[in-house]
Amino acid sequence: MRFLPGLALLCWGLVGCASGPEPASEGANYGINQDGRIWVRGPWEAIKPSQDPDDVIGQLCPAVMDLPGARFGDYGREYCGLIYSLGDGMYYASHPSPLADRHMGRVSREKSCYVPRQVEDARGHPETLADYHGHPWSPSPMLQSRFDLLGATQVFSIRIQFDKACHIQKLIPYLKEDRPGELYERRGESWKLIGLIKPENKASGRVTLVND
Amino acid sequence: MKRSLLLVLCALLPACALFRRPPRPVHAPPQEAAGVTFPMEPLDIEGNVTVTGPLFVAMQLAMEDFRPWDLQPPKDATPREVCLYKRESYDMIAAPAPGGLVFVQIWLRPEACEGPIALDMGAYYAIDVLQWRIVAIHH
Repeated sequence: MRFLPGLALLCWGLVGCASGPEPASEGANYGINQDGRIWVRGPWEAIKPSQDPDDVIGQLCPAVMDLPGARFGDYGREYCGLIYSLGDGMYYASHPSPLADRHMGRVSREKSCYVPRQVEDARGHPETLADYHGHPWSPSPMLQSRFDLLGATQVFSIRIQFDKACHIQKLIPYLKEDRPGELYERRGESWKLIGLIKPENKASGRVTLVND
Repeated sequence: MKRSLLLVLCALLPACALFRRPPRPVHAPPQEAAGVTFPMEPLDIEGNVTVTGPLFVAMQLAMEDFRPWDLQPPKDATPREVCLYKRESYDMIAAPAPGGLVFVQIWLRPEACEGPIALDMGAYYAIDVLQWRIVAIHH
């Protein structure tokens, strides 16, 4: 009598093992245009707009980490979004998007999300300042993700990354300027410069650490 | 008795298909090989790379874990997904460290696969080159 429920439970468990996390599909607040570009809707009501982009950045991590799977480590998912303005002196955050390629390798830590290219905000014409994304683990510094530092992957003026424990890092690539890119870490209410990307290293993303 | 043994064998033999050997390199036909002129000094060729044996094997070990040789894209894979499954779509750094460790960083070459920029494409390995094992993977 106990055998059948046990068998059913085992089968249910096995099906669960086989299925794994589903790839994210388009939602009401993010999607893929006909030309293949990723869009996100703004503003994200969870983030209070501010004249100071740092105020917006400071609110992002706790809000993103409340989303499904955002803290689940190897079984979690990443979210990417944008910080933008409408020319009204205020900065807004878009909704985050979990859109990504299907998990393919055997490395469960292989997580990613697509950088959105545009914000849909019915109130005006958004100008994007930064992209942001969260990692479902901690610690997970930007320094250890080569792809995110490459010149070829920089789309906007600033890249914000945070991990599960809300360690926030900011990359200002200065891609079109003859000056080093700058990598910062959020410490309290200020940014601490932790690395430079020399002009000759912008393509490779090689970071020269800055000592205290 | 013999009949039941035969049935058991028939049932088990298809399982042998699961034990696949790693692929051997494909060789070009002799006429194509005859047309190749080897350079006297490969170091004279721009873009040449010298990799030490331990570094090479560490990179091979990391890549074998990251994109195993028998990992195939699903039947409904898009051209981008097929591209992301290919080892040649990724670049690598191998850095030797004290204590028999080699740190291997793997990342997608941005221009390799068409489509949106997906952040965090790659992995970071610590390889033990004394016992040939993966010590840690960082993302």
